[in-house]
Parts: sequence; C-alpha cells; structure tokens
Amino acid sequence: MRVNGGSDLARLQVQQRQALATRSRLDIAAEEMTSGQRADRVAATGGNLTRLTSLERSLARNASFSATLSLTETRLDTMQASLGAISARTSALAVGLTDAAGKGDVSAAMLQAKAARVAFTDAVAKLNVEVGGQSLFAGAATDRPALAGADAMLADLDALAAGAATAADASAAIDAWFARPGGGFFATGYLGSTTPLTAVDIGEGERLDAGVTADADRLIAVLKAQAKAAVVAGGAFASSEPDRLALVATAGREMLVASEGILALSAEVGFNQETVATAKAARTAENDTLSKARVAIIAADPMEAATNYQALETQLQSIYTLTARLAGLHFLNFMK
Amino acid sequence: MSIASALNSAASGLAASARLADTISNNVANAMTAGYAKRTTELSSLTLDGYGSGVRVTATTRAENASLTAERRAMDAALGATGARSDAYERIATALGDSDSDTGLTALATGLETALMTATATPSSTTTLAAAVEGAKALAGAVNRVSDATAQLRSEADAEIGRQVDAVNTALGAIDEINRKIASLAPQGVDTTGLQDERGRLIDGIASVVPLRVVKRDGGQVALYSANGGALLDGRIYALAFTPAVNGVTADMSVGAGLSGLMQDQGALTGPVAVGAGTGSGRFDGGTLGALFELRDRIVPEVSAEIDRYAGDLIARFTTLMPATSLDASGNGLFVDAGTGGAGLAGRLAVNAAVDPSAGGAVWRLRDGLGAAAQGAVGDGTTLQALSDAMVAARAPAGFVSTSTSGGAAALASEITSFFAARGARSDEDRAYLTARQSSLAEEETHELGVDTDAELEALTLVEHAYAANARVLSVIDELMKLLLEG
Repeated sequence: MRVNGGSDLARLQVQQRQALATRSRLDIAAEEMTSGQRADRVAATGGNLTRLTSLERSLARNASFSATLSLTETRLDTMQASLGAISARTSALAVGLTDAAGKGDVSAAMLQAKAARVAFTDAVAKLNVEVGGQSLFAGAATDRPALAGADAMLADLDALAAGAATAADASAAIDAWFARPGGGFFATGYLGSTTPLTAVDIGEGERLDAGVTADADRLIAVLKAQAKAAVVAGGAFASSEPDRLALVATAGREMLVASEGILALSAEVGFNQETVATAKAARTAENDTLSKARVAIIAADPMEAATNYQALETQLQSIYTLTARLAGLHFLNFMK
Repeated sequence: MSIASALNSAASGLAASARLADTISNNVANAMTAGYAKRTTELSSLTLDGYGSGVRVTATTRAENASLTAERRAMDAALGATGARSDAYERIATALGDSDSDTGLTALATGLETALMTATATPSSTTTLAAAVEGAKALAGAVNRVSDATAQLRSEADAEIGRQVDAVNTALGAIDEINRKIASLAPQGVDTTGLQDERGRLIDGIASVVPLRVVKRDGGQVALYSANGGALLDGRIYALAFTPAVNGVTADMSVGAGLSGLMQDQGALTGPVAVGAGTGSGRFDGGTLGALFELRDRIVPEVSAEIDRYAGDLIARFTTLMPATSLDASGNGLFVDAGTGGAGLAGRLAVNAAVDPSAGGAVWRLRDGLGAAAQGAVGDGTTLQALSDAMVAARAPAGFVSTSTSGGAAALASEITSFFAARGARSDEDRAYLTARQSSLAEEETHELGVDTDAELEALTLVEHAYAANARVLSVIDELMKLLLEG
C-alpha cells in the first residue's frame, strides 16, 4: 500500500470532499424519499427519455379521451331518452289511430287525433333538447334549437289541411311540406344545420360519429304521421267524417312504419352508447397500464430510498467523527 | 585547529539552526496556503584547508513533482472543458424543459394536442377554443425560449472567450516578468521560492483555459506551450487575440460572418494570424477556451438548427396537412414565421394573428378557418379535427439530428428533448469522472508538495536540540577562553 505524505491541507481537502459528496448523495436520497420519484429521470430511463415522455403523452391523451367520452355519454343518454319517449308515444298512437279508424269510431278517432297533436308538440320539445347549453339534434348548429316551435309548424300544417279538398289531397300536401329538400319543413321547421356534428375521438384511432339530427328521414316520418292526425284535431274536415277517418287511417298506417324506423334509430344510438361504454372501460384499463409502466420507470422504492438514506446518514456521521478525532491527532498536542 | 575555529563552527551551527527554524516556521505558517510548496533548507559542511570549519546553508529549495503537477494541470484543462460543455447542456435541457415540468416543450406540445382534441369535442365553446389558442401560443413561446436560450449561450460563450483570452495574455505577461526577475535574482543567491510559488499559481490559473506544457529553461525560467504544440511564452510572449461580437451573437452569425476566430500574434509583420480553435485538434484546444469555441460554433448552433427545424415542422404541419379552405388569405396556417425567413426561425415562430385575440384576431377562426370573415356553424368541428389530426400526424423529420422516425409534433418534441438530455447526461458523467480524477490528483499533489505540520514539528525538535548543542558548545568554549584569559 502506498502511503501518501501527510500534508495538512491535503488531509483537510480529502475530508471536505468526502463530507460534501456524502452530503449531496444524502440530499438526493432525501428528495427521492419524499417525492417517491427517482431524482435523475435521464438515468431512470436509461438515457432514453422518450420512453417516459411517450407514456406521459399517452396518459395526457387518455385523459382527453376520457373527458370526451363522458361528454359523449351524457349526450347519447339524453338522445336515447328523447328517442325513447318519442318511440313510446308513436307505437301507442300507431295502435290507437289504426284501431279507431278501423272501427270507424269517429269520436275515438278524434280522441287519438288530439293525442297525436300533443305527441307532435312533445316530439318537437324532445328534439329541441339541450345538454350543457348545446342543442343535441341540430347538427353543427349547436347554439340553437333543432326545430321551430310546434305551434308555428302546426299552424302551417292546419292551413294546408284546411285548403285541401279531400283527405288524400291533405295527405299529399303534408307529404309535400315534409319533402326534402324544398318542403316547408326545411324552410321554416328545421332550424339546425345540415352539417352533421363532427365525429369525436374516443381513443387512439377510434372515432365515433354519434350525431343524429332532427331532419333525419326516420324522425321526419314520425313527425309527418303525427301531423296528419294532428291536423284532424286541429279542425280539418270538420264537416266530413269520412275524410277525417281516412286521414286518421293514413296517419295510423304511416305511424306503424315510422315506429319501426324510430326503434331502429334508437338501436343505433344504443349501439353508440355501448361503444362509448366499452371505450370508457378500455381507456380506464389503458390508464392503469400506462401509469404502472410510468411508475415502474421513475418510482423510487421508498424502502430502498429509506435504507439508502440511513446508510448515508451513518456514513456522514462516521466522517464527522473521524474528522474530529484526526484533528486531535497532532504531534503538537503531545509536545512538551 | 584552534579554539577560534571551534567558535566559528559552533556559531555557524547556530546560524544554520536559525535558518532551519526560519524555514520550518514559514512552512507551518503556510500549512493551509493553497499552492504553497513546502521548502527544504539544505546544509553542507564547510571545509577550510581540508579542515572542517562548520556548516553552511547551501540553498532553500521548493518541493516539486513536475510530472504530478503536469498531470493535474492536464486534468484541470479537461475538467474545465467538460464543465463548460456540461453547463451548456444543462441550460439547454432547462430551456427544453423536463418531461415532467408543465412548461417543457414536450408538455406544451402535448398540451396543444389535447386542447385541440377537447375543442373538437365541443367546437361551440369559446372557452375550449381559447384554451387551444393559448396552447398554441404557449408552444410557440416555448420554441422562442429555446431559441433565445441558444442565442444567449452563444453570446455568453463569445464574451467569455474574450475574457479568457485577456486573462491568458495578462497571466503570460506576469509570468514573463517573474521569469526575468528569477533570472536576475537567482545568481545573486536571493531566495526566489516565493516568486516560483506565484508563477506556479499564475500557470495554474490558465492551465484550465489551455492545456499547458511547462518547459524549464536556463536561469530558472520556464517556457509555456500548449499541449497541442502552440507556443505561448518562450523568451517572448505570443499573445492571443480575439474580438468579441459587440451586440451579442444571433442565429445567422458564424466564424467569418460576424464572429471572430482565435488569432495569435506570432511576430509576423502582418499582425495576428488565425489559429484554429474548437475543432478538438486546434493548437489551443483541450481546455475551456476550446470548449467555448466548440459551444459557440458547433454544439449550440446544432441545437438552434434543430429547434429551427422543429419550428419549420410546426408551420408546415398546419399548412400542408390542412384543407386549403381553412388557411388565411396568404396561405398561412396556425403557426407563422413572424420575420422574413432565414436562420433563427424558432425565435420568430408565432401564432397566426387571425386567431389571437390580443393581436386583433378571434378564437372562432380556429373552428371556422383562418380566413373566415364571419362565424359558421358553431358545432362544426371539421376544421378543429383537421388541426388535431395535423398535430399528431406522422411527418418525416427532414434533416433532424435527434430522430429519423416520423412522428407527431409532441413526439418530435420529446425526441429532441430526449436527445439533448442524453447528451447532457453523457457530459455530466464525463464531468463526474474527471472531477473525481482531478481531485484525487490534486490531493496527491498537495500531499506531496504541501506542508505536514507533524513532520515540521518533528524537525523542529531536532533543530531545537541542534541549537541547544551548539549553544552548549559555545558556552564551553567561552569557559575555556575565560580559563585561558583569567588564568
């Protein structure tokens, strides 16, 4: 073993350096112990920070997907509730109208026609529903209701029926009013945008087109069938029972077809709801996996950090003790 | 042989002891002086006509270990260079930001990405649109900051080169003067060890700037050469010359174009000549001076060029990948070059004024197209979706040094950050290694050359004995002489 000369200054420098090095390692250990994360992120990733940043980016994106999913979920739930309510009334009316018209029971038919008028108003209200200040069935024009007021539309329709000579004429006129694209419905009834709501990102490469607009053919069919019965309640053909019955019968027939259409629409929304629920579960699972992977890279084991801290503490104490002892070991102290 | 000669011998012994005690006390007094090398007083016997006639102080010499000192100085230079590089990388890493800080380039790119996604989900919300615009401004700001930091680093390196060149020239002047003093004083038998200490300290001072070779010359003088063979001092001073850029360094400057190289006065009539620096093989490379040139001319420009390319990618991403209808009248996208092109694009990157409310724009243009005169359907997220897609679209990183893999804007930011962080980590490792090596060498040197008070005190006890013995001899001689005289 090589024995160095014993320069006082060198000895002092060595002690200072050792104490300083141990101190700084102790500081790092303390930081790791309190933060639970490795102090040197570059070292923790083996020099490849991208491993960590890509995980952190995925986590941030996932959080954004989750927020979109929650929003979409609420929208779809509200849509489904609206469609459910419309669908229930439609199928009830389909039976009622057809039944009354089939029996030739004018008073029953009138009663059903009144119910259809209420149902029309109700359907319009349901399609004008808003979630968080956003109109759901108006396509891209989320800032306004999808449809004009039911009263205004019914007034137009009543006028059409009043001007018709026969039930068939009235039915044809109402068909024309709802006809795409030039019909009155598209001019004054539908206020929303023809641009559909933009599809939303619900995962990496997963995009959901969940928009349903009030001008969808299947919804128009419902409104149209309701309108045909509603005008009867509105006073059309007050003097001609056969025309009234004929119009109610037409309404009933069309309502049967429309109720199937709206069920299909409801099923589509239901499918989207399921997609959202699945995506939500997937995002949560991904989040767990990503977080675990991230923690595996940068987490400092608290047990290890604590042990390390204690060892360093002891080491620093030994250095201080040695320094104090060595300071006493001077020839000067023994000279007489 | 006579009593008188015995008296002389004893007196010379007393004088020698006094000189030894003097040296010892000087050593002990300087036990904690850095750069002080312990002195040893050498004695030799004095003979007169073949008879011993006492003791003579030959010389007081300064402890020396030329190879150890040279090795430590070489390490000083290497450590200085690595330290300068590592400090610069640290600052670059800070400017780029760590991935866990919210203000880092990667975090802000990810922030814009998610802000655009959120805006797409609710295109009608002014709040989310404003958040996306803020996200874009924050990202542009981060890119600007990195660019500013690189310009700052280069300016500082340039100014520091000027300071170090001055320091080297000043030190060379002082060393030259000491050389002359030693050459004239030493033959007169004057103690020049103090001057040698001073000269050693001066050499140490510039050893970290330029790695030095110290060559001994006649008369106790030294000549200084750089490790790569450039003369600095050898009978005359070969002064270095450098002109710092007056108004700082900008991205478009390089050596010969606004920046000065390292020059040296080599005695030619034409004035200072250019000597390569910062290439690693330049005559004065290897210390902080070479490292500073390397930083100014190679390392930092590499970072600023990379961040320029990143800014270019951001601009291109939001023009080429976007439908033409969403661009403004001059075909600009979300990000624009606020200047007139050329190097330093990252410093000029800005968000299109059309969407920036503080610049007279409106955030809804993010949704309805930058050139839109009036708001469109508030729920139409098509353009926002295109923006969101453009942000994450895998684009080939043309010319990037940090990555060759196509990626989205956030992925590229992460690659750049990671690349330079890894370089910084490597130079940190070098620095840690060199620091350990340098301190162990410095300690070894101090052990060899420094003062050991124990040893000095031990010697002092001997001196004490010698003094007492000589004094005793004197008093005995005195008694003998009294006997003779008083009879």
